[in-house]
Amino acid sequence: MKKYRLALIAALAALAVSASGCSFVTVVPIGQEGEYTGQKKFDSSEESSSDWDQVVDEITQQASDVVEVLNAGGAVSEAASVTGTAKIAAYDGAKSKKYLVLELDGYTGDAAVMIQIGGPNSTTAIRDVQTLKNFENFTNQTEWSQYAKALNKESASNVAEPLALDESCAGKTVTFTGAAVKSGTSTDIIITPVSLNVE
Amino acid sequence: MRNNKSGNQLLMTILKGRTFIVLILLVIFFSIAKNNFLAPATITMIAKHVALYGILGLGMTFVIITGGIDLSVGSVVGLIGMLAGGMIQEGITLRFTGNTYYFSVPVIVVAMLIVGCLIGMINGLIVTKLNVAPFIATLGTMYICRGFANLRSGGATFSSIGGFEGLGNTGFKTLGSNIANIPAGVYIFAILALLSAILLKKMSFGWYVLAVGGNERSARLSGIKADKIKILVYMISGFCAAWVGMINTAQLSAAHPASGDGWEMNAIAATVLGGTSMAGGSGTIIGTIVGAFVIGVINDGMTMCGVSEFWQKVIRGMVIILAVVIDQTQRNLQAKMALQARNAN
Repeated sequence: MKKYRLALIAALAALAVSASGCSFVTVVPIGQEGEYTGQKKFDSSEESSSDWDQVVDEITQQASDVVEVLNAGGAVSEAASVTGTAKIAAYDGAKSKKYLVLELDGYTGDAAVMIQIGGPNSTTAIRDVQTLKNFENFTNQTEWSQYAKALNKESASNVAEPLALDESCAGKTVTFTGAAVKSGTSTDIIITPVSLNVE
Repeated sequence: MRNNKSGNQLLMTILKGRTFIVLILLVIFFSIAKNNFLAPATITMIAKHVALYGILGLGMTFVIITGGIDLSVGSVVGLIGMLAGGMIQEGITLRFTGNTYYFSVPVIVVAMLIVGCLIGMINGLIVTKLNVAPFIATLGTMYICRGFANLRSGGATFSSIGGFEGLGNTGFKTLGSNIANIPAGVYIFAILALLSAILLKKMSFGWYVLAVGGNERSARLSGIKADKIKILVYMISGFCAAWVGMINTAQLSAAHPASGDGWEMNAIAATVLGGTSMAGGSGTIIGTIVGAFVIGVINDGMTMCGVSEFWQKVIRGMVIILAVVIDQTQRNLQAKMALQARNAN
């Protein structure tokens, strides 16, 4: 009896909604939602890949000599565009993050300076030095953060991965341009490259 | 002896009406402190807030009468807001069908109320079937719901809750609008309060709730299905929280995952101020309504007077402690008077 009562209530509710002229549901094929809402779903990788070439150009043009920047105390609290040539002191690939540890002539500081060539990159240096887009171009903090990660992925896939670097590169000379910043709580300086050449 | 008895009776009358007396004193105080406190716009603003705390308080009253507590209601408010906002703005995408489904507002409202009830049912099942203390069970669901609220959008806000004509999902904002200069939330509060009062005082369910809270063992021995009653009261609480989640989202014109943070405390405060015993077994809907007004007037009155948020928390805490102390005094006095009456006979 109870079941019938519940079914009757549900049927009456459905009838009331139908009678009000409302349709229960509007079905839209995936990908065509924007035609109805006027909104485009945020795609960080689409955003970063379309911006990448311009970002590379901008960082290349504004980059300063890495030794001068670091000796002047730069790339610590704020990211900086840097360029330079250095000897690869070591290839650090023991963990998920892969680095080239640099030996910089003329650098007077104590911090280790490394180029990240693989693994998860949590820095936001490339996003922070570029001026093509700022926070106002995004809807929220999450999109802004996703944009930084997507630019780091562009760096990995376009710059580091094609070189397929391994332990054998230790002792060679690297010429690089990229965005440098102090890594989180450590004193290390991490450079995310936009161009890299190992000889 | 007779003077002492009539003095006790007078004190008893004052204690019973204490929340209402406090409310009147607060209104007088803030009216003097702020000239525009009784202006129509201010009253509307307070009414909006009172409705939200009040609806949460209604559900909380049922739960506390059974001797339980529901700490998850604030998070349910946030979760429901995000689910409703997401259904309006993004719809529900089912990849295996290749479509996104946008539901009409009545369907969304019904779905959200069902979700609220389901969360309440989970709370009730954890408390009754797994024998977890209500405080811990609902503390857990509080975190789970808040987590899901954030996961729904990755922490972002749904700002297009007005819906889209082409998708037939407009009209949600009506829940946050004014109808004849009175916020829609106040109407919903009034209807839910009336239904709650009938449920608690005029229907057998209400007596079962009071019986379970008063003495659960006796209630079970007299054939009351205590577990079923407890599950149902948590479902009522979830149902009320779902309403608040939707009304709040409509009032803000946006859904944010942090919405409703800490509101469980306002609901508990309104309930306790209204005379519902934390030990269970007694409480009234009218008391909770007055309690919600006291909380609303204190919150908005202090904000209007420029009292810092930090001091507001201190004062709110003191008011709650005072309410419980007075409640205890009233109980002691009642026991004393009952003893006197028995001795006199």
